[in-house]
Amino acid sequence: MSRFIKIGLLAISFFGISIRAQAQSEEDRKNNIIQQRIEFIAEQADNENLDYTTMFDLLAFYYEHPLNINEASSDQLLELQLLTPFQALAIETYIKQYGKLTTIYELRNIPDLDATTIQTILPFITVTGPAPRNTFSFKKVKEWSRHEAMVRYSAVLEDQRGFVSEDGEDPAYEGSNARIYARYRVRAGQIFSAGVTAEKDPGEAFGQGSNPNGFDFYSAHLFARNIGIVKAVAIGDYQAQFGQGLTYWSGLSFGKTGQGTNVMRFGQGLKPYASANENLFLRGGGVTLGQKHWDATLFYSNKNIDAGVGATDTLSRETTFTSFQQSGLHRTETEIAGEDYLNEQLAGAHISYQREHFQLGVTSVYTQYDRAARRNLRLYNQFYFNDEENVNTGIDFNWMIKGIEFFGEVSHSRNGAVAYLAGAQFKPHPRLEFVLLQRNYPKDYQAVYSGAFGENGSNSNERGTYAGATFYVTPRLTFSGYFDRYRFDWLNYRIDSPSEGADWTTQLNYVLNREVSMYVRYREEHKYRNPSSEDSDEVYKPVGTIKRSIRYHIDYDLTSHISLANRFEVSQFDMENSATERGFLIYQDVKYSFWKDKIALYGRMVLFDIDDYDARIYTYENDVLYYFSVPALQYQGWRAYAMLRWKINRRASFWVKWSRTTYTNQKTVGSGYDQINEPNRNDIRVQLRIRI
Amino acid sequence: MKYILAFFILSVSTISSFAQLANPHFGSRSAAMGDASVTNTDIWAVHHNQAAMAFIEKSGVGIGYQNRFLVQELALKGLVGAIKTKFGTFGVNVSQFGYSQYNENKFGLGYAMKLSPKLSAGLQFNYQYFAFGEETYGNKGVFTTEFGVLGKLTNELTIGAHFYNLNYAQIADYDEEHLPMIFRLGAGYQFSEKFFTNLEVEKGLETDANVKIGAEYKIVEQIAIRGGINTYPFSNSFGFGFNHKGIHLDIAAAYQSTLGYSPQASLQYNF
Repeated sequence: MSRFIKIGLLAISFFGISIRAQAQSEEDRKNNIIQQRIEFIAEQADNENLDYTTMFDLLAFYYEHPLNINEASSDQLLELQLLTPFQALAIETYIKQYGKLTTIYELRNIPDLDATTIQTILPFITVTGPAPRNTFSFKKVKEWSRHEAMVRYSAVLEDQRGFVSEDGEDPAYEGSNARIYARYRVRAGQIFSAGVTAEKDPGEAFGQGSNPNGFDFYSAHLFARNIGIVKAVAIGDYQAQFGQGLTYWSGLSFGKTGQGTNVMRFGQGLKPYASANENLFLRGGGVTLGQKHWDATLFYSNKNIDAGVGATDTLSRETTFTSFQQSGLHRTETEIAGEDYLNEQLAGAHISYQREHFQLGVTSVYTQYDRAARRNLRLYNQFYFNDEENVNTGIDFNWMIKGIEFFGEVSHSRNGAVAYLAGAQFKPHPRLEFVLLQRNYPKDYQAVYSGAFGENGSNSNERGTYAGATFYVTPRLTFSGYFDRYRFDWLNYRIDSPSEGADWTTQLNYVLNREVSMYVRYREEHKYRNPSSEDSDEVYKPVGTIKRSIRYHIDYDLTSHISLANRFEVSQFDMENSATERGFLIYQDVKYSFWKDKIALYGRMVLFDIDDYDARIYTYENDVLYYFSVPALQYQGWRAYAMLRWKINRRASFWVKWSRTTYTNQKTVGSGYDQINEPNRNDIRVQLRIRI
Repeated sequence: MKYILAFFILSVSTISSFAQLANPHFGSRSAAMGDASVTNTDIWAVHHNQAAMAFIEKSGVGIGYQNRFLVQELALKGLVGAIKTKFGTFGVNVSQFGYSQYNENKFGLGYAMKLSPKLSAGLQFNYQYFAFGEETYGNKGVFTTEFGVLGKLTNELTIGAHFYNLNYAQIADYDEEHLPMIFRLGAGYQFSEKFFTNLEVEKGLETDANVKIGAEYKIVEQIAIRGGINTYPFSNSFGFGFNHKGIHLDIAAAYQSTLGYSPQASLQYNF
């Protein structure tokens, strides 16, 4: 037995804590991490159909190519968004002091790393292997290149209204109900990536009608890193994220999560784009040059995006648009009319200066549209972007000094509004960590693509203070929570007066032993809203609402083949002058893998009893690789799914998933064109992946 | 000797006719603990969580009688058996609830196996028959399935989950009436040899969640006292258990403030 294994066994027996290297349970851990984050994002965004692929692309990448923490910089550790700056620093310090880690079990010796955190990062890291950010060379690209081709098909088995012809008329949706996604990508470590993605959503035409070229959406990219002074170069589709996201951030960002101290953002600059969100990316080119302490990024994008078609000026014949449409769906006549209706050009630059534990950046982005925005102006959207062009300029920084990490960004939009956020993260005691974040986004701050921390989706009309804490009570027990209080100084969508709100979450994570971990979470949110959801010109007096939920979740792997999980959640929604809505949900998860993990079977059975929409409960589900489903459950019924994952050989993997929801107190499922005239919904999804 | 006694119990139960209630919670030990019994490892697990049968130490048979709210027509009678073999544990249960004008009958065959020293799973198939005295309403028989898992997370802590009616059997076309699907999730914590507690949540598809708490304390090896509380509907229960040489006599009573007392007793023999 090698010395390292002995050390490892010693560590395990001594601390009784699980650090396992089996691929099987790491897959579960990866899924658990994604699960906890996604549910928060879905709840906050109030949307179960977001495209999470890009968000979790990095995690998915590191899961398959674990990051060598002996070689990684603290920036790269932070990029995972799973460690706090102090933990990253602690790893760095430990390695400097004691030399490279020889086994992952040594992680346990690093002060500041609790069992929950170790379990969280374990699927994504290693202590051997190549340095993560190699310099570019064609030889390495040739040597490391891995090709991946993937096809996914999904469909709802019941007839939805939009696909059926009514009264002899054509169905409302142009195409079939299949969702088809195909992608090809070649990747060489982090230094090179190229690929093509194509997608057709349910209801969109395929190879006919409005989509004569086959798929509704195509995307392609070419991306390379570390070619001499060129730190990154992107051609085709890409994303860019800078600073704290207040000036420019393409794609989704993490907001509040169960880990109260993870609010600081780490802008990653240019990133390849290989996802299917049809609007939140850049199309054109970008380059980052870097030398010593300086980095400079220049980028340009020119693409057509979806918009609401506006009125045409009778004299000048000038056309306008009324809103940005971000759903990416082109199924009905109206949606197709707005498809690629608007041309958007973006040009931007980011310059940053960094020293050890210090970074300062300046970002400026110019946006121009070929048509002017002419919104249907109401009181609440008075201050929204309603023009042809915009300029956002901002300064961001982060600086760790005397054990306190300061971070922030201040941004200016063309109309003169200045928004800022500032935060500090500190550790008064080795087992206690705090973060404070103050933001002030004036009602007229306009940035079409921003993604800074906040309660509202857009970084405007909001000021507030967030305080989060993590307390590492014992290596196995972690308490985390936050309190966020905010104010909207102007009206908001469906809130017809200035209002305020607050929410807080407390979570207790407990790692019982090698096989068992659990958490309890309580959330409460206070907000105002109009008593009626009717979208009329009448002005309502907003009323207070409170949503509360409590959840208990446990994961346990009692054999090396079977892992189980249970969840129990209760929710309650109260609104002044209305009846209380209550929700209840309980589920059993089973995963069984056999034949050397070549085949894994996943199953879940959920019982739910939820009065109405406002008490809805989001539950993340295991799904085919790179697809994330987070159904929001409401009403009364049960939901079950079964999924098979089959690693056919070294190159090919196959997935098939079936899910069913049955409602006992409903006659139909869904609404509008998606309505099904029976209380059941069955979904099927099939995916094949080939890697070479 | 023990086989003679087993035969005796079986014959007595045959005479006393069979039966149950869509998903009857049976066994007086369980009843005394407020039916918070999804992690209890005794032969009555045939009614609560088949997976728990995998952990019984000895095979056994038992009979039970319950009188709901002291109404004779609402009696529940039945017999259970669990046989431990090297291939796993096999369970059988037969019960009848009701009287001549309306009765519900359940015949179930269950099987449980240990998947590891700490984990077990159980499966049961039932035939359930609903009979009316008058021909007009018709009688109906359906098949239902049950599935459960039990995990011993530590020496003290056990967690169990059980689904009744996974196939969501339909018993009438009118209003698409189904038998309820019921999910029970619970934990048991053994404080010492003498004292343990159970906490359980039970959710029927169309009924509110019921939170149940139960406890058992052994005064001496032969005598146990038990108590339990249910939240929906609110009720409390208590009971006693006596055992001597593998024979267990358990007595329980549940009290519901509106409907009153439901006494029951069960007798079991382990061999």
